[in-house]
Amino acid sequence: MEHIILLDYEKCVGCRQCSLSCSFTKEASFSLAKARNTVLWVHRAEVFMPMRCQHCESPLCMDVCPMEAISRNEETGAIVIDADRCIGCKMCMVVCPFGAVTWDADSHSMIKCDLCDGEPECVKHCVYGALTWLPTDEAAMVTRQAGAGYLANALVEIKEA
Amino acid sequence: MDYFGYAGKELYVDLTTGEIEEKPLDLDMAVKFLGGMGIQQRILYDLLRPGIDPFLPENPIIFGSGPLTGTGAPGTSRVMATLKYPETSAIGSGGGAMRFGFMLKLAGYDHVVITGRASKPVYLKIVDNDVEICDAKHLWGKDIVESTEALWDAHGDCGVIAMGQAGEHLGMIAQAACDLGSSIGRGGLGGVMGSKNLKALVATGTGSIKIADPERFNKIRESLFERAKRYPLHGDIVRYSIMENWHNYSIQFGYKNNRTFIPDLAEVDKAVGFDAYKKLGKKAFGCPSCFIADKEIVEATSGRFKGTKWSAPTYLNGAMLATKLELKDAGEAVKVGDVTDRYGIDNLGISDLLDFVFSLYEDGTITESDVGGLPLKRGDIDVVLTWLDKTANRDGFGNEMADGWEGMKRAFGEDLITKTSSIIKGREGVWEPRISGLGTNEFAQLVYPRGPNAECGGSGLYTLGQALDTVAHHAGRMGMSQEAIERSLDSPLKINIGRFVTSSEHWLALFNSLGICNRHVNNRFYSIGIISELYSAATGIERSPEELMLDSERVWNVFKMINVREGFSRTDDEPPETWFEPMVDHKGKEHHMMDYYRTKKLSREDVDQWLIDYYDERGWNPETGIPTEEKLVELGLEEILPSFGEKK
Repeated sequence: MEHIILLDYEKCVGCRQCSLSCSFTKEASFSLAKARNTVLWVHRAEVFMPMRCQHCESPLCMDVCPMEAISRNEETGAIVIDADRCIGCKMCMVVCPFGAVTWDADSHSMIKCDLCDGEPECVKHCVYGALTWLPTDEAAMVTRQAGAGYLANALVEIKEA
Repeated sequence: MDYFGYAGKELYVDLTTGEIEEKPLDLDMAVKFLGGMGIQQRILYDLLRPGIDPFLPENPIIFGSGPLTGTGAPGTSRVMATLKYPETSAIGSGGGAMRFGFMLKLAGYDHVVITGRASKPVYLKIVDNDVEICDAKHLWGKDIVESTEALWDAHGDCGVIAMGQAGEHLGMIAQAACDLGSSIGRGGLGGVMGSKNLKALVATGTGSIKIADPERFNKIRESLFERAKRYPLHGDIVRYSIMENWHNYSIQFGYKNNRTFIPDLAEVDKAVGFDAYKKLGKKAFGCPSCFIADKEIVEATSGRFKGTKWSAPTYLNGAMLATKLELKDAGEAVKVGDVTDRYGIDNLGISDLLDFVFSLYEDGTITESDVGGLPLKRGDIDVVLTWLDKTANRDGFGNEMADGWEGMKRAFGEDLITKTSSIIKGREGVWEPRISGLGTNEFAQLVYPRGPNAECGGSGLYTLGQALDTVAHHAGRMGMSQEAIERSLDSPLKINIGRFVTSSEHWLALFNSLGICNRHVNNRFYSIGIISELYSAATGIERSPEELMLDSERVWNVFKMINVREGFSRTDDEPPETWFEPMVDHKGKEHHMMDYYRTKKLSREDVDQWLIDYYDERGWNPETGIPTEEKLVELGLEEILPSFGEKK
């Protein structure tokens, strides 16, 4: 069953443990630049927005890669980069709408989320429940319920007004 | 050279000349003084000219963090500001949190040492090794929220320490704020930044904090995660911040004013306390690495200030301000909290100062003409807002208010202040022993070299009257030796607070030096064994629990000696007169200062004895309250042996 990492930005408090855990797992050091995900504080909206690879069905990064270095891991559903084929042209970084592919100047390579072989460390370390790792159908139900909740609240407000 | 845990560099910035110099972190110093507070105190010991006016350009400010900051262990976002503070004329390490310390390390620096005075308003930008003194003309006159947001807009995902109008006007009670989530530098950091024309600091970087033994580090970190997930109060704390502990805090600090002394807590609760707080709008947020996010943007949901928001370290400070000044509802508490934090006025300090002048008016000692015609009506939010505006801008009598208790002495004479307020080292105490009993936090206010503050007593005994086995367990967790525990529990009053406090001070110094948050909700997950493992694994410098506690004691002795050099001694540790006079509650009942278990009314002799025991436990001279040469040599501090004061 295909899984996704579901984001609930309302639960995110900006602790950045997802990024810290990611860089620690992948690089054995704590860094934001080397993390495959990031949490951005959007102060005008007062939200922390976890930003990461969405492992798109039609990934622009894959389309644009001249070396066919980007593929999907059929087992985990992750979009991954083959470092041996990658020439570092950074086109994937340019086209990704989520800013999910970054260039690591130290290792001279493109880095991105690979879903930790199906056991994402970021999710494991999110103690606030802002990130969950769910089968896609279950995730759909969760978001549907959340959406219904918003609508219900709006209706209550209208009734009370 | 590779550094682990530590970023590995220090930055020296002279705002007068514009010179920026980078130096490698002295690892020998790191081994001896750990980091954060410890290294900063040691650096400042060499840099500071004794007796200097804190507002002179040569007075350095040191910002920075510790080797565990940013490592992903729980609550490792502590950032310290070490300097000579104008309010108490004492050297202290003020703590803050949020992103700045972490991001300074990602930029490659453990500390930044700032001296001099810029010729015009500036802010310091540190983005990796791009360090620049930038024009801050557009920020001058702006409050902390406006300034911080402008810098976030300009520099993206960064850590910001900024001061407000109170700092620009060299307020002695002006503090600064980190990323709109943490105050830093109570006692005048904002004012000292103002004297340097330094509006703010910005840090961010693409670097990494390397870990010497990732596997070993991970083992401890993962076990901490598991415990955090199981912690039954986790949800409540994220929901209610440290207000979750309101009933204890309200008794221990804040729940009093000089008019009604001890109001009806049930009434306070309803108006501005926990009950009222629960009705506010709220967005929780946390520092990087925090397991238990307890910071919040609170929003008034009813009343005149409906819609007003306050990005706060905790609503608690607003509740205390509102209690003392008898504000009507939580919306008013949110409003004064927001305004004080925007101006950068210490909200604990201003609540005591306003309570003081209002009380003088209420008992007929002064009239409005004594305060430049300012209104003196307690319970009126508009009056409070007027006073805050005057204080921030040193306008009229606000000029005296901006100087804190120094200003009050100028205006009303020292005698009146000594008689009516609990002043220790020039500042009003935060923890009130006549309501809660003289526990560690209350007592530690006397001996804390920086002057009384919320962090006094570190991880103390907190809640009144805890069972002795809990106390002993807590002591062991904090690295207290079995012998020290026995000495601390050998007292007719069950606990010898004087002796016990020494260890909780070392525990505080350890957190402040390594970069760990000291709030009780985070602190509770740590033990000296865990810290020893984390420090050793992160830095590659093997340190046993006993060695770490010794390092911490060394840090405390430098902290003490730098203040001894400023002229502080035993007389500055004396308890205030008011502690020995009763407070009266709303029913007319008198409350005297009792011991921690509330079995005995304490006399001056009792407190004096605990002071003597405190110095004895520390190996300091009980008559002078100053470390002995023997003690300093034992701690390997020959380098700071004084040519003044105490001699063998």
